[in-house]
Amino acid sequence: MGSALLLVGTLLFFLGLGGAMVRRSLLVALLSVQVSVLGGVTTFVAFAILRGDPDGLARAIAVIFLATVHAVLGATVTIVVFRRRSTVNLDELRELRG
Amino acid sequence: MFIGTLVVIALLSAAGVVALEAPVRSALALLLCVLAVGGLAWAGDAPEVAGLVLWVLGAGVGLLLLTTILLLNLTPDEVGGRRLSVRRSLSLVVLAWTGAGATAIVLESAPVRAAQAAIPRGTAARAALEDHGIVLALAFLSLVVAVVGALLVARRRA
Repeated sequence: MGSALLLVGTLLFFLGLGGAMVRRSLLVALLSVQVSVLGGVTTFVAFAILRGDPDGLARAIAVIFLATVHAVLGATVTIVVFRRRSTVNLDELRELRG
Repeated sequence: MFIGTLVVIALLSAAGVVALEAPVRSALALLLCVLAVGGLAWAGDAPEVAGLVLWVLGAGVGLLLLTTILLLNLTPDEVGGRRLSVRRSLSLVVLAWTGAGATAIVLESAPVRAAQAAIPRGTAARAALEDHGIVLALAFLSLVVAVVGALLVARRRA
């Protein structure tokens, strides 16, 4: 069970990472990062099962709340960016580029 | 069988988040992935984590992002496409599978402490509150600050 969860967590992390790189929409990039977070939480649970240590579950709980903070801030930034620029296409948001 | 089904649902829905064109469908796929991961955590004798994944990440984050997508009501031009094709990005999945297989091989060969039969119920919550209380308190505080800040920023007119 623990090994299976570890594999699932790894795959979820890489899928989310790939999605954040591939998709050019700010919203879908946020969703992909949440998939990566799910992979991280699954990995913590997997190691807690493999080691029989509840500390891994406690850390997973902290990661869940921090992911919520990230999602709230990301959604706010998306709304503000859309109000100012009328787009969430990352290819058009290039103010920081030279 | 049940765990295998949840694994397949989790992986397919995560792939759907990346591959689906419409952001609404990606958000719905994320909700499905959260359900599957919550089920896997429950099957792994971690009901506290399962509950938090379902309620916080699913009902909180998932619905928040879905509502944001619905409110913005983006046109296809505003959404943005893909930089790479889905077929090429599947190479990332192959790499991930290879990395996961290597991880599994390393873990199987490394010595692991003798695990207890199961993590007793309630010990995760006790460990979180007693051993990681400061971390959780800071996480809660940052969540409150983030929500208040989001409300203040969103209220301003462009």
